[in-house]
Amino acid sequence: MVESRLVRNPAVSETVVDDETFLVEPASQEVFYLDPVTSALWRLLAEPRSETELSALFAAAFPDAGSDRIGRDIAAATDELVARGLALRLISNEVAGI
Amino acid sequence: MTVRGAPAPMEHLALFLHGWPAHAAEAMAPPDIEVEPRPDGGFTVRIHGPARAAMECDSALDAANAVAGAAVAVQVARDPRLVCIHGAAALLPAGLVALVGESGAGKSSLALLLASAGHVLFGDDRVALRLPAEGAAEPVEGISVGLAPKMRLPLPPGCGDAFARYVEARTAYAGETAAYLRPQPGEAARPGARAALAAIVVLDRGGGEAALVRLGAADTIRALISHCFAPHIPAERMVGALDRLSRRVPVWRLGFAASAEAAALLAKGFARPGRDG
Repeated sequence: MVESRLVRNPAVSETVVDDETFLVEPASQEVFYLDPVTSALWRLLAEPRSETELSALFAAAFPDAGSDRIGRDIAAATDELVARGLALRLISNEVAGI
Repeated sequence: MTVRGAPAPMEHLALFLHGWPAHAAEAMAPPDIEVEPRPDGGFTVRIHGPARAAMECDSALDAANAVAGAAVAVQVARDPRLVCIHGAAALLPAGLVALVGESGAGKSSLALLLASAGHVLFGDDRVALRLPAEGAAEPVEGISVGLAPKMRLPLPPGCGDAFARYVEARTAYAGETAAYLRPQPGEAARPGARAALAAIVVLDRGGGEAALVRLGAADTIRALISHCFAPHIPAERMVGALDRLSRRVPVWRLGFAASAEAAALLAKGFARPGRDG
C-alpha cells in the first residue's frame, strides 16, 4: 500500500507577521493562524511529504518527545490542515478525490 | 442609498440611526436595502450588493434596528478602504480611541462612561476606519457612522449614580435588556465626522486592576480580525491591511474588572494631544 503524501493547498494565501503565520482559505475566506509547531509543519509542506517523513523530521528536531506521541500529533495536525482545506492529500502524484 | 419596503420599520429608524438625512423617494430599482413583511408579522431585511445579507426580524422595531445596521454596511462597502469595526469610540485629547472586544466586554459602557465625563462619543457598536493604502504615509482615520448608542441593562456594577442618571436622561427607548440612547447636542459626533485614530484598545474584562499592555502586529491581527466587517475586502488583503494598521496606530489590550476604573485609566492615558497612551 502506497502511503499518501501531503502538500499545501496552493490556493491558500499566506502572510507572515512577526514570525507568525496567517493563512486564508479562499473558498470560505476564513483566516487561520498557526502555532509555531503547525507553522513548521506548514513550511515542510511546501513540497509533498508523507506523514512518516514528517514524523521523522519532527522526531529529529524534538528527540525527547517520543516517536509515538510525535506520530499521533503529526497525524492530528495534518488531518486538521486537510479538513480546513489548507493542505491536500496526494495519492501518487494525483490529488486525492480529484 | 435607497431602502424599499414596509413603512412600519422606517417609523422607528430614527431610534437607531441618528443624524442621517432621509426623505421619501419615488421607487427606484434596485434598492440597496429591502424590507419585506412576513405573514407572521415579522420582517425580512435584505441587503443587496457587496454586503449582501438577509436578516429575519420578529418586529418592526427589530427590523428598524436591522435597517440601521444594513445602512452602515452598505455605506462601508462603497469605499474599498473602509472597514467597519464592531466597537465603540470616544474622542479624547490624544485623538480618537476605538474600543473593541467580545460581546459583553464593555465597549459601550466604557465609551459612554467617557462621554459622561465630557468626551465626545464618536460611535457605538460600529465605527468605520479608513485603512492606509500600501506604501502611503497618511494617518488612519475613524469615521462616525451615527448608530444610536446602546447600553445593556442592568448597568455594570460600580458605574456610579451619576452615570446611571446620565444614561436615564438620554434613554430614548428601553427594552428588557438594553436601552437605546439619544445623546444631547454636541455630545456625539455626527455621521460622517472624521478624526485621526490615536489608538485601538482591545477590551479584556478578565478581572484585576485596570492595565494597558501594548500588542504587537501578530497579536493585533488575531485580536481584530474577528471584529472587522468588510465584505468588499478579501480576507488575505484584510490580514495585510491590519498588519499595516498595527504599524501606524498603537494597539493596546486593556485588562480590567471595573468599568469606571478602566474608563478613568483611558481618560488619563490618552489625556494629552499627540500621546498614544
